[in-house]
Amino acid sequence: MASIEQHIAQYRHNRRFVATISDQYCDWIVRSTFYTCVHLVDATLAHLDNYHPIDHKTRNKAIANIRQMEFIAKKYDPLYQLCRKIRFFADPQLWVPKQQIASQVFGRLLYPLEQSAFRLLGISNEHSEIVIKPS
Amino acid sequence: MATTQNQLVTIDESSDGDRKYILQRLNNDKFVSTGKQIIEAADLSMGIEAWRSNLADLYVDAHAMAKKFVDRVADVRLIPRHGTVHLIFVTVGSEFDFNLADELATLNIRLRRELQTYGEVEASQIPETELSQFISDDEQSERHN
Repeated sequence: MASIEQHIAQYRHNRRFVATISDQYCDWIVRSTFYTCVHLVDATLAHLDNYHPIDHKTRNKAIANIRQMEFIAKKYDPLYQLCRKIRFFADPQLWVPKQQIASQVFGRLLYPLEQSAFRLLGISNEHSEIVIKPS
Repeated sequence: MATTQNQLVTIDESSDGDRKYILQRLNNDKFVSTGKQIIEAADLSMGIEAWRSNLADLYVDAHAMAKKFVDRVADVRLIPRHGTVHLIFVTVGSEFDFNLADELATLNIRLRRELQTYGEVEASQIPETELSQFISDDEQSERHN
């Protein structure tokens, strides 16, 4: 199983990748943002509870049942729902238009989740806002 | 066990658990069960009834929630699939509704905390226009049966 440090390294890796994706691939921005959060969530679960989920279902249950992670759960679940469905859409841009990526996907979900996780992990907020790459 | 209709018969698991009983159907088919098996079957049946009732209550709650988004939610459906019941909020228009997603997140957290009450249930939103991508024709028709 991955260590807390490995999860955080992968989180940073995925977050850097998000910033490289052109805004014409909003679905991939959403999916990469979700998998960025997965590693931050797993690092937090490992830190708080020494818990290492094996799949989405066990991760979701764990987050919901750790009171300190309730705020994270409220930000993570919409990302999970977005990511699960957007894969199958014929025209995902209609579901999450690029105008909503910065304000909703990042501003409403990713950044608050990061801040809460950083606080629980005891690390300083190291990231600036992601600038979406124009097509 | 021949008794009068009004006579209550007790099967006590501690004393009758290993005892064998012959159960006879109206068509004269006969089954042999132990007292323990009879108690377990009754227990399971009561559990399923309670679960169905809880799920019905949840469906009512979901409809109440949908009323808060009356302009955005066209329908709410319960779809059982692969051991999970999917509580689907069918949305009008094509865009993901972030306000509805916040409400569904709160609901999902509650459902994940109350697994004993509802079993595996997951709430999500799907736009009307993409419904056929996520719900099969069989599942669509089951709703109307």
